[in-house]
Amino acid sequence: MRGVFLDNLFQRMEIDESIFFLTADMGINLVEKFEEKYPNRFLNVGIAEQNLIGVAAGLAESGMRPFVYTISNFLVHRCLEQIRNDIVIHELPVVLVGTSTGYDNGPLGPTHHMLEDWGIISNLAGMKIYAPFNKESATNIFEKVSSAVGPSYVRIAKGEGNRNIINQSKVNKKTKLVITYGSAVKSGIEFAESNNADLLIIDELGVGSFASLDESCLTYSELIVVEDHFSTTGMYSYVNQWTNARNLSIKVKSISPNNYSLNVGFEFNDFLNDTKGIGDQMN
Amino acid sequence: MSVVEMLIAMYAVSDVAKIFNKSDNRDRIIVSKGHAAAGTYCVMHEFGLISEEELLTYHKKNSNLLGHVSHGVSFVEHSTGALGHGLSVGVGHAIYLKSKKYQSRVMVLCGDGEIQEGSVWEALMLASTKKLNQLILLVDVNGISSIKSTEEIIYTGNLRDRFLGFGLRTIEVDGHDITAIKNAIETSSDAESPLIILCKTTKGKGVAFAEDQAIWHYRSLNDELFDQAMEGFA
Repeated sequence: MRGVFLDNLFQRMEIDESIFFLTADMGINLVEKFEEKYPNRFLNVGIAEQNLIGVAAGLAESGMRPFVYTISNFLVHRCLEQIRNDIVIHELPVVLVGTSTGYDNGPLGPTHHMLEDWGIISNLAGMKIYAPFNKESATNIFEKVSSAVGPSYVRIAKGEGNRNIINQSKVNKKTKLVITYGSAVKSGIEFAESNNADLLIIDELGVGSFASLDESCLTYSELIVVEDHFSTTGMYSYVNQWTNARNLSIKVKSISPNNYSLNVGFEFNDFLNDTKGIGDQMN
Repeated sequence: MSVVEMLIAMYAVSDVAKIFNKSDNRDRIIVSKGHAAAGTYCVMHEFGLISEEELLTYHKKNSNLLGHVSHGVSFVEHSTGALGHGLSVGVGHAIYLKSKKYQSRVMVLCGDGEIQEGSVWEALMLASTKKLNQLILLVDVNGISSIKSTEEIIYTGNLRDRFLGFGLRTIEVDGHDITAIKNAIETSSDAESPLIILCKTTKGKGVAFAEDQAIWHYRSLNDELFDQAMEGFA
């Protein structure tokens, strides 16, 4: 998905001369072609993420459309103040491209677990948040952010995602609906199949997710959110906001991580397949 | 008060008409120490960028003239208030100007306490590497950080040597000498390096009871102290 998103970007830079690509020394074997073909619209700021965001803000204020690339944890956590003050408050069309989500980098340890990133970002008013779940979704999201008038955060999971899936796949009308996104989609599908539930995959998060939670969700007695993000600020929270706003009595349940892990090899599927863990969440 | 002459010098060397018209090749002035809003807005007023009517709303309800520099005020390039942001944004502007082959400058004003922020040095390393000679950083060297003198908080040693060590052309001037600051700014096109102007100043300059005292970061004037301060300028 990362490669597809960047391929789209590379091609668009040919016709959109306002696009400027920035990286904080990340993206080996991916970003070199940008520097080679567009040396005047490419910048590797070095391992200096705070500066990365500030420079992007300055470029955007000058009329450019910066795409800022690095792995999500260096982008979101370290730079929250820069993202808020320099980009969001100024309503600049900067696209934050963060790679790796959830336990994508699980074996690298808790500093690399991305379990609260978009929840943090979602508190920044005006920021759009997207999470592709396959190549087509990555392309669709690129089209949205490349013409957005304000800031965006694209949270790209590792891998190709899941083929042949469309957003609104809740067609069978069972009593339960699994809602999932990003790198949790594979697990969400498995969980829906094994629990006789319909499936809703979304690719816009935060308040933007409300558009996906349409009236067809009203007929379910149970909404189960499967996500690679803490539930407190994740989609579980937004689904609850959505049901509360409508005064609905639909049960909302969460299957999500609830802590970082110090175990090598720990990943989202481990959590999902851990019966005790699911039991704890479901009860 | 320590930055007033620096602000005047920055606007004086700029083509204010281009700022007023928001020309793409205008000089950019970014006040990174956003708490210098009162001084910034007064100087902008003197250069015709803020009306007297608007200036007199400063810090009042429903005014755009808040306590920190805000882009809600016309002709302010960037909102600041958290320290260590302005220089990075200025680097972004400078890269843009260079890519367009414009000769205009980006002038960033920051404090000598502010340079304790690591992001300042991230920006300086990049600016030096990219030889952004249109970028000028004016440092208000008033010797006072937030609650104490800078030297009591973080030992900064010889500031000039530190900037030189980053490959940056560095000039030291009297920060209350407008002509000296203007002359220093005008040398920016002479070299390939960004220019650092260390402006030695006195915090609270001209207000005897407040000069060089960190506590006046936080105090406000009452009517009596206002009159007393104004007597110093008579």
